[in-house]
Amino acid sequence: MWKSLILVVLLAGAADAEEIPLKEIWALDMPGTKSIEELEPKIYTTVKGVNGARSHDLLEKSWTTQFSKTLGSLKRGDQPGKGFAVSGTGLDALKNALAAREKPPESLPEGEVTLVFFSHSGGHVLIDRVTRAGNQFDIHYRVKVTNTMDLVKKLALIPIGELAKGEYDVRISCDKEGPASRGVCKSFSFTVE
Amino acid sequence: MRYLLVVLLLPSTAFGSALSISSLGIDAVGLLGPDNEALDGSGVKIGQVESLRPADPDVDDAIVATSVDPAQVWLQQQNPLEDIFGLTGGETATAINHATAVASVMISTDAVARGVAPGASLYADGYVSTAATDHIEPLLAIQKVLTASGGDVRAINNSWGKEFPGASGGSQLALGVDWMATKHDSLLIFALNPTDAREDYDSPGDNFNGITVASAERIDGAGSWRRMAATNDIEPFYDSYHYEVDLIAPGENDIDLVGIGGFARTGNGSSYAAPHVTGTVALLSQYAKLELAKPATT
Repeated sequence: MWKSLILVVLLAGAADAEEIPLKEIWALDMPGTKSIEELEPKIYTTVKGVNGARSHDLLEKSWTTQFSKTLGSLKRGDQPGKGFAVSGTGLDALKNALAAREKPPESLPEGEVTLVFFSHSGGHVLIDRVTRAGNQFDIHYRVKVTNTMDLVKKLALIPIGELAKGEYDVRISCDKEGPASRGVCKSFSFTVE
Repeated sequence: MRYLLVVLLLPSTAFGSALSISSLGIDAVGLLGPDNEALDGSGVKIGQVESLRPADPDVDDAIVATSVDPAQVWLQQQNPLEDIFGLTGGETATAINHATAVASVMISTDAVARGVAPGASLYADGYVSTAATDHIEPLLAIQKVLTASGGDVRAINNSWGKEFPGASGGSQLALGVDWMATKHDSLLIFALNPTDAREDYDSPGDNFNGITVASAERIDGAGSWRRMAATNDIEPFYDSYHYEVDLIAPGENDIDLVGIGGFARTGNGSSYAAPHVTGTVALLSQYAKLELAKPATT
């Protein structure tokens, strides 16, 4: 009887989960998402038309590059830190993410909110799906196996719209954790006041 | 296990170029030959084999201008931005971008992201193999480069990895490298699998007749590349396999690279450490050729 009731509650909860489409997410090199480079079109369209020092200088000015530079390799035993949330969307969110990288805000004002997901230099981490059920967000990712021996950094900005006052939890998970996923940011919580 | 850093003890002058080949890295800029000739790998053939191949402006219409210009590429002569071999356009571009970036460490003529040996002639073949344990396709690609390039390929870079079906000493790769060593006078250089990236991959494992290269990182993140990178982190995952690191070379702290369209970018991993060594082989070979060409040399 109780088991059936719990099952019904769980199913009801699952049915309420709302998916945030990948195509609404700005991300660095993740299939199915919008390229985060499009947030800085002047830089990235110019870069692809010029070689050498000019492209190098342009990329240095990019907000994406500056955030990426904060995602160096982790030493054994180091923790990647938690993901976080910022106010705004699009380029504003990217700028806010860089500003908040060292000390993410625990509370945000009411309004548009963007979740910041990142991965330090390591495996090819890709977001599979993002869902919301009430005040709970779930970011599920996987590590894509490639034959190349490079290490990559990842950044994704997940717009979740306007949030009402309250406490929110963001759970970050994958099916199989291992060395290639140890640089992925951890679950976090934040408050909208 | 021995960790050695690639250092060329030859005269050098510093000027603006990729940081990892400056005096902070392998110090490969401004090197001079026995009679003060510029050492840039001119007259030396080197090779590259990995999943897919670098973009080549001679065969890829989309690549209008680039500072990475291989002497010849084989396999997948299609435009790398098109869908090929079941990969989507984006995945194909990413894979070939990796190959292009690896090639740039060896032969780029870019002012900022210059390669170790911009004068060397690069011959590159790609392989497409969906089987995680199959080493035959890449071995055939190595053989292709060694035979179809007209000979004299001094070293072949391999920035790829796969899973071993059994003990590494008897793997297809280990046996293949041994066999190549009996047939060809060429050094096979492999990137160590950084387990942070590919936890299930074990190759190159035993590599008795080749060189395995791991990443060096900058001391305190800003000094010279003189330290075994934390990302190599191999011990916990190689308990049942043999492995050895022969050399370390710059592979961490954002190596300057050239992307598929010729623009500068950065990357990390032993993928980019190995070609520092392959490019260095080109410089040493050029030096040796110049020295042997001198009349007084017997």
